[in-house]
Amino acid sequence: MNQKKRADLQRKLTLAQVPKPPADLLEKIKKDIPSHLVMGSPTERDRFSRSVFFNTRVAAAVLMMVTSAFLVLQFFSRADHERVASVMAKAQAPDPRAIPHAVPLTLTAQNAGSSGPVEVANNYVPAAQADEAVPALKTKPAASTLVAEEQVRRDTDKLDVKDERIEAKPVSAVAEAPAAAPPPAATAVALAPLAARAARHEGLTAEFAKEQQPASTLFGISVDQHAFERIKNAIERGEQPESQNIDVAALVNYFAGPAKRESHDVKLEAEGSPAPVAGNPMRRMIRVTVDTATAEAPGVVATDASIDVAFDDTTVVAHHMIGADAPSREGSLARNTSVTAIYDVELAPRGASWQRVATVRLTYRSTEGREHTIEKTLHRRDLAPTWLAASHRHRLASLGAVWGETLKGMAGANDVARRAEELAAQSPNDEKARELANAANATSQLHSPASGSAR
Amino acid sequence: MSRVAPFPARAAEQDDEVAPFGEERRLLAAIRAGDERAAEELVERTYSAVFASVYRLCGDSDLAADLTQETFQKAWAALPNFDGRSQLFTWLYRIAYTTFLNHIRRPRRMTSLDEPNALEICDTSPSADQLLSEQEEAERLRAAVLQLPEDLRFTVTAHFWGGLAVREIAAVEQITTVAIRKRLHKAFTILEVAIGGAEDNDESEEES
Repeated sequence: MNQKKRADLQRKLTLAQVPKPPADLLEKIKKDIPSHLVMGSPTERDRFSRSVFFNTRVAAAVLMMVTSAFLVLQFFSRADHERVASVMAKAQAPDPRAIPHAVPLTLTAQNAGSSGPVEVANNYVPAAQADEAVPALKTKPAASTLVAEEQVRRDTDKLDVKDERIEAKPVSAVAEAPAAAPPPAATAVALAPLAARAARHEGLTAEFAKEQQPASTLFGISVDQHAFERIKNAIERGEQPESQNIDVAALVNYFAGPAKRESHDVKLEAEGSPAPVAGNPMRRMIRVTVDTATAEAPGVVATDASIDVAFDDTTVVAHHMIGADAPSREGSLARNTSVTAIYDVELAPRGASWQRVATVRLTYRSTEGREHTIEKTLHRRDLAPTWLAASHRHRLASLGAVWGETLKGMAGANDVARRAEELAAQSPNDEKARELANAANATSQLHSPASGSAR
Repeated sequence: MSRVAPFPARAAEQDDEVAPFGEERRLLAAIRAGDERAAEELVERTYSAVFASVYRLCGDSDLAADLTQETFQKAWAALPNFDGRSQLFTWLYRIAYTTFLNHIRRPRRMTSLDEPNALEICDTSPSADQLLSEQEEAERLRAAVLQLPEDLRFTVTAHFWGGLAVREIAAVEQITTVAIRKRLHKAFTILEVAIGGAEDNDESEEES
């Protein structure tokens, strides 16, 4: 077939003449337009519905898959985190009773009430010894403050709550702890076992424990309830207390006070916040508090108690406990007892929120003879963003610690006084906040140049 | 192996009133939403092109008008099932073509595809003895086209009488454009033989 014939055939096919449509054709067709064109027919609606339903199911399936994947990743991420933390904790403290990398707590025991009888734990020093170590020891009502907490019930064999673990083991299954713990690692401060003191406390009898005398020290930390009163009296007389007579640990415990109402045998709290006064922006105040059950009937709730605080050296540049050197093993803990320690910590400038700052571990033996461990971990994200965001107990205790430091000659008395006034204004019914504000103001006046007696 | 002759899309031959694709989608959406004015607009844009296509198939103006009307009636019924994957006019042409085939297959009004001389029966004009006019030649060509096998017949009529592009026909037939061009090439070969044979017969009749 040649091209010419093909082109001719195409021309004939294309150029066929077509008449115009009849004039009425358009109107006829328009008249045939049905009036029910909306969504055509039930078939169309059904198809549309099926399409929407199918798309919805696909979207839901995709959403569920994404959510499931996210949750699985979160689960494994958390599991890895906990495993690493567990391994590190075990590496730092292979023997829960020995607690090799423990930082002794500066804890002060306080009685919940001054009027009610208080049973002294069997590690309390005799009155004669107490007079030597802590003169003018008196019983005084205590306030309460809190931060983070962990609780142990007497009948609890094992309890896992987030970062905290409480473990109970039969006595028969637990080997006797060594008399002294191995030296601490660089990243942690060992709880110094005061063997002599422990031996002395172990020898105390139950009759002594019933002498209803408050403890003057707990975990080797002064809990002198009259330290503040002596200092306050001195300041009111216009005298600058001698540095060696200022028991900052006792001041911390005085202002931290006891738990308002604690139903558990032993409770551990840990809380952190920036310092109450301006200064190093990386400075943090870590508070650790041990509370025992509040009850009218006296009695011992725990024995062989020890506590350690291990700081992560990748997160913490420097740390020290305010007012004390290191906590020690405690012979026993009585009811209505509270002990608080404040750590002054400097964090590394940069770090992720999930980084661990400190791990606090409290071990003790219950009255049934079971061994318990309460552990609480503080991460960067757990620390309060501002001092004002912390709990009242934490603010009062940390401000009391800083005030004690200023009494010893540290600068910042005016800032402490201002903070104390703010705290007292926020808590008009808190007697201790008012006392601290008054004392801080008096200290500020003592340190002012006009007084001429500062430092 | 013979080379397939090019059959370019003849967009210029498309009816100017046929809406572009985007406009078609807007019209369809409006019609499905119940806009009767949109349906009328669709008719106004396409009815003349449908009529022309049907007329080229049947060669009768009145019949073409009836089949065009029937085409739109079927279109309204089938509109909910139109998926919009082809152009609206392509879809309408397919309906019109099917309507035409259904018409010629009806016993009473059948324009027989089995009787090549049917045209001669219809062609009773006084000029039958004269030289073939262009109209007669067109009628002969139309009859030859209608004698083509179904696949070739649809391809030729859709391309030349319906004005559909090769690509559109390929989409409707769900084959490649190369296959469509092969169909056209094959149809042309058959048509040339048919037209040439008819011309030879005419010449021999004249000689005798």
